[in-house]
Amino acid sequence: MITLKSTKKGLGVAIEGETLVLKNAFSARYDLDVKTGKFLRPGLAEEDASVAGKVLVADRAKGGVASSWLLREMVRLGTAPAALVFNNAGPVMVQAAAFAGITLLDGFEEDVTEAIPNKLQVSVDPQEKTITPV
Amino acid sequence: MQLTAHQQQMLDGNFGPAYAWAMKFLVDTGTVLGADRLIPIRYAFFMADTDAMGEAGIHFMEELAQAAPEQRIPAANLYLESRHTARELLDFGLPQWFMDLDQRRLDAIAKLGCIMEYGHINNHSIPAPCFGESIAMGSTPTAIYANSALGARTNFEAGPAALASALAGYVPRWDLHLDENRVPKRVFEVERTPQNLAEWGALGAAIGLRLNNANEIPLIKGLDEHPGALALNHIGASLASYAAVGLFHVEGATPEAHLFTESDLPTERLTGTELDAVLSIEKLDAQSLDLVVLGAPQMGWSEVVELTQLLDGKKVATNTTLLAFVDNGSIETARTLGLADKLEAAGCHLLDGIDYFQSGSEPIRQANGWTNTLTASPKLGNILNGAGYNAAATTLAVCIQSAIAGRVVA
Repeated sequence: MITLKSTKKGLGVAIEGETLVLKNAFSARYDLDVKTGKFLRPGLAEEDASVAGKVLVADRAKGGVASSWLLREMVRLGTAPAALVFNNAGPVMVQAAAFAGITLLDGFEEDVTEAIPNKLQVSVDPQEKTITPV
Repeated sequence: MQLTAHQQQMLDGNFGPAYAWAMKFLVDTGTVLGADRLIPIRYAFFMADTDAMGEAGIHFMEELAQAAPEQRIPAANLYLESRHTARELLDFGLPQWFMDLDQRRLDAIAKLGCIMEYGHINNHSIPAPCFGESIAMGSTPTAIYANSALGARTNFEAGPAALASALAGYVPRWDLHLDENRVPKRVFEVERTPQNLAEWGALGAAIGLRLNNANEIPLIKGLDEHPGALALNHIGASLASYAAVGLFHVEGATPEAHLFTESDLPTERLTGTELDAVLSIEKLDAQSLDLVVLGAPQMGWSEVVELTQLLDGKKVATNTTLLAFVDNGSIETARTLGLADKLEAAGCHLLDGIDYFQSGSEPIRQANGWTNTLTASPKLGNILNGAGYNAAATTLAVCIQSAIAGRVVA
C-alpha cells in the first residue's frame, strides 16, 4: 500500500494503529456492542473482531444519529476506534468524530476499502490528510 | 468558514463556555463538511436518549448545564425527541441504574433550556417547519420527513449537533440546505403500491438497500394513490435507517417532486418481490416467538384502533410478550374509550415512552433470554438484528397472529 491522500481536511490528531477494514457501511448503534467494541451484527467483520484501538476503514456510515453519543461513551469505556477512515463519512459520522475526539479522514480518489489492507499498521494524519503504512 | 463578529465572539468564549463549545462544534464540523457560513435557525430537534448517551454523554450534558443560567439560554426553540423511558420496562428486566441515568439525562437537558413537551408540532405558538425553512433536526425520521414531506431544509444534526445549533442559533450552510443538493440521483418506478404501514416501511427499506451512498436521493414514481403523512413517515424512517439518506421525493405527493418530472435519469423498476423480501419471516418460520414489539415510528391512533381489532376476543400466548409503544395522547384516549382495557386484557402492554431500541433493549433481552422477535417496523427489525436479537419485520396482522399463536405464523 502506498500513502493515500484524502481530498479534504480531517478531524483530530495524528495517530498510529492497526486497520480493521469493513466492506459494508458502518453504524455504531446498528452493529456494535459498545461495552466491548465487538460486532453484534453477524457478517460485518471476522468473528470476535473489535474496533477498540483500531483504524476503522469503511465505505460510509449508515443510519443512526446516535453515533456521537455512542462513540463518546466508547472513548470513556476504552472500546472506541482510534481513527475512522471513510470513503464518504457523511454528517453524522463527522459530528460523532468531532464530539468524541476521534481522528477522522474521509473523501479519497481511491476506494479505501480496496486500497487499504486489513490488519496493517498505519499512521493517520488529519492535518496532512494522509494514511501511510508504518 | 466565514463568521460574523457575533459568531466569532461566541467562538472566543466571550459569552461563556456553553456557547463557546456550541460554536466550536459548528465550525469544526461545518468546515469538514464544506459549509461556507452559518445560517440562523429558530427550531432544533434534539436526539439524546439514555441508551445511546451512556454515562459519558449524560455527564457531558450535566457539565454543560453547570454554566450560569444566562450563559445557557438557547437562541432557538429546542425540543427533545428522546422522551422518558417507559417505567413499566422495569417489570421486564430493565435495570434500575438505567432509569436513574434516564432521570439524570432529563434533568440536565431541562436545565439547558429544552422545552420538555412532545406535542409541539401543531402548537400555534411554535408552528411546524415550513417549506424552504432551514432548521436543525436531530432524529433520523424527523429529519428526512421535514426535508421530504414539508420541504424544509435540514441535514442530520445528530445528537450534540442539534444542541449546539440551538444554543448558538445557527446551523452550518451546506448539503441539503442548498437547492442544488436536493436533486434526485436515482428514479424508482414502484411495481406495487404498498397497502399497509409495514409495506410503506418496506418500500423505504427496499430502496435503501439499492442505494450506494447517502447522496443518492431517490425520486419515487408509480404510486396509485397519495401515501399520506403517516406512510411518508414510515418510508423516511426506513430509508434513512437502511441508507442514511436525508431526503426523498414522491411524484404527486412531496413538494419538490414536480421540479424533477423531466429528469433524464434512467427509471429503475422496484418489484413487489423486493417489498416481500423486506417483510419475509422465513428465517423465523414456525419457531417459538419471544417478543412482538411495535413502534418506531411510535404507534399513532389509527394503529391503536387496528391493534384493538386484531386482538378482539383473543389473548397473547403465555410464551410471547407483546409491547406496543404509543404516544401519551393516544394511550389516554384509549383509556377513555375502553380500548386500553381490552388491549391489556388480551396481554398487550401499552407503553408510554421512547422507542424500544432506545430503552435498554439489550439488557432487557439478556434479562429475559429473548431472541426471536417480530415487529411491524422494518427500521426496528434492522436495528434489533444488530443488538443480539433474531428479528424480522412483517405486517401488524402477522405480528398479532403470531403473538396469539406463540410462534411465527405466515
